[in-house]
Amino acid sequence: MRKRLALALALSTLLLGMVSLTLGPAGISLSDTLLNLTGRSVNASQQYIIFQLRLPRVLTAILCGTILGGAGAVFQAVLRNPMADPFVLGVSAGASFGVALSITLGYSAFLGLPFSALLGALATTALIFLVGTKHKVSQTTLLLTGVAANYILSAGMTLLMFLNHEQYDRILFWTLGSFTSSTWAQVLFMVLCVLLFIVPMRLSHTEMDMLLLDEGSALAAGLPLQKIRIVLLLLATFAVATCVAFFGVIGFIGLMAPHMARLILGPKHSKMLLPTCLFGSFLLLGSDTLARLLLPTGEMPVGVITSILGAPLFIWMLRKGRYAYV
Amino acid sequence: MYSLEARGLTGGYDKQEVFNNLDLAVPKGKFIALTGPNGSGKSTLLKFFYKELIPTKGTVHIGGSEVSSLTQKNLARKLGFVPQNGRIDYDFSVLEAVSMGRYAYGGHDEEGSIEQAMRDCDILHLTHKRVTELSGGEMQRVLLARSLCQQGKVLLLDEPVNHLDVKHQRTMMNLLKRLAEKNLSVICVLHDLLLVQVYSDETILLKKGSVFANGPTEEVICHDNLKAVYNIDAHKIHDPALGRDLWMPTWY
Repeated sequence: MRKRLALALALSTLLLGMVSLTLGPAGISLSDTLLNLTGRSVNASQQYIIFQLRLPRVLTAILCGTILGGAGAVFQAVLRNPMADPFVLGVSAGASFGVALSITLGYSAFLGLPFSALLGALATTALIFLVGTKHKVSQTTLLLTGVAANYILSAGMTLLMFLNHEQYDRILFWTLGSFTSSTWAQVLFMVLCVLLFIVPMRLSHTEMDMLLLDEGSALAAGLPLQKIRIVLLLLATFAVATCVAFFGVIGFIGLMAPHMARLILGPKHSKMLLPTCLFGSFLLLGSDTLARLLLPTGEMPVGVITSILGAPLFIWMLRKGRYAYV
Repeated sequence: MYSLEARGLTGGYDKQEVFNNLDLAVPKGKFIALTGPNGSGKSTLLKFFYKELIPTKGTVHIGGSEVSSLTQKNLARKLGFVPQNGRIDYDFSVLEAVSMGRYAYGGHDEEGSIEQAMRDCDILHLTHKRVTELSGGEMQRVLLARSLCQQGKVLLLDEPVNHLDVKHQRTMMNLLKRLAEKNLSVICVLHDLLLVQVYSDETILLKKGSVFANGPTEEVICHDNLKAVYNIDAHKIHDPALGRDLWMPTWY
């Protein structure tokens, strides 16, 4: 089941990627796209559009989806809450606030952005971690803490935009999310990020299962609880911060992807982690493709599409009480 | 050598010290009841033995080894723990849930301890059922099986029959008694004084973070101790099935 699902998702993402490569005002057909991809086209303008504009965009959306899906699974395991997601908990907002602050202060070189995002995300994660792992804190309190963090950081972003009119559009980009200006350098950086995040995460699948137990049982069964929690959260925070630094805040992928994988394959992380990442890729590439299609001119920020898809799921999960402790 | 020992144990939660210089030695291979009023420190005491809490002063020992010197995995090979109101909110299968008890062994189970634990707890027929579909009694037996397949010599249980009906309480308690008879040290937090008297070999009676009485159950559970610890009167009744007298709280 797991292998068939993974294959179906990988093929769907590939197909979607091909469709996405053909979309755009230049009107390059599928056959021309294939000719370009296989190096059999001599049309320099088409080559430029496909290789320098569209392919990096498709690849970054896939890689970013992988990370956001995986990060959602990590946050949900560490905080024992299926509704935890870097966006819902304010971690993404923390990263984007870090970036906005960095721009406002004039410190936004290529590597400066991920670093600023990381600092912002780490500060928010630390807050969530302290609240979420405290003895007898309800899951509702945790989610509300995230919502409050989101409010505060959004207010901070608005203030920065208000104080810094020249950088208004630039800062706005990080609040909504977009793959418009993806580059090959970002693709390479994201590949590295995926490897540094996904490999340790996959190797920790048993630990992630154990994290779903109550604290006492996990400890008594031999799990070095705090160490595992901190390592996994740091990895996920680093990965999410990188995504936000390059592409802005993209919500709900981390909520939707693990939920879909868990519904089909059950909660065991050895089975659901890879499909979670593939669901993340498919969802984000699909959302980006829709973002390019839905408006007659121009395009929508991808974060709007993912929120339109994810927010109803979030509300449904809250109402349904699928998990008794929510 | 004792199954559990606390030497000058001092500690508790961030803002609340529960124990101050507590000394305690628990014999091996017996069914020990840990009882006392709410807030006396029963559950808190267990937490020091699986390292959810760390003593600020003093030491705790398990099977002769100082707990602080053991890694979490090595500690897990010496004990098992069944939590209060234990449940697993994600729909693992029963087999997957029990297998988590083998984490300290890298998931390996050459000796068939998972199957043995499931047989001991009479849950083999539930192997592929989802834990979210289990009744309270079945869930407790799954949690117990998970602890048993850790193959420790000490089993800690925090009010394991709290939310079970009488029939399931009896099933669970009989099972624990059988385990104690197989030379496992069973240390069980219990509120129900009847269960304490029927099942335990020895009882530790706690009051406000101190050991008020510790020894054979028939000596510890008596009118004077119950009056001093709970401020209740008690009277004796004869249980013909057990063939001995039991202390009952006077309800009115």
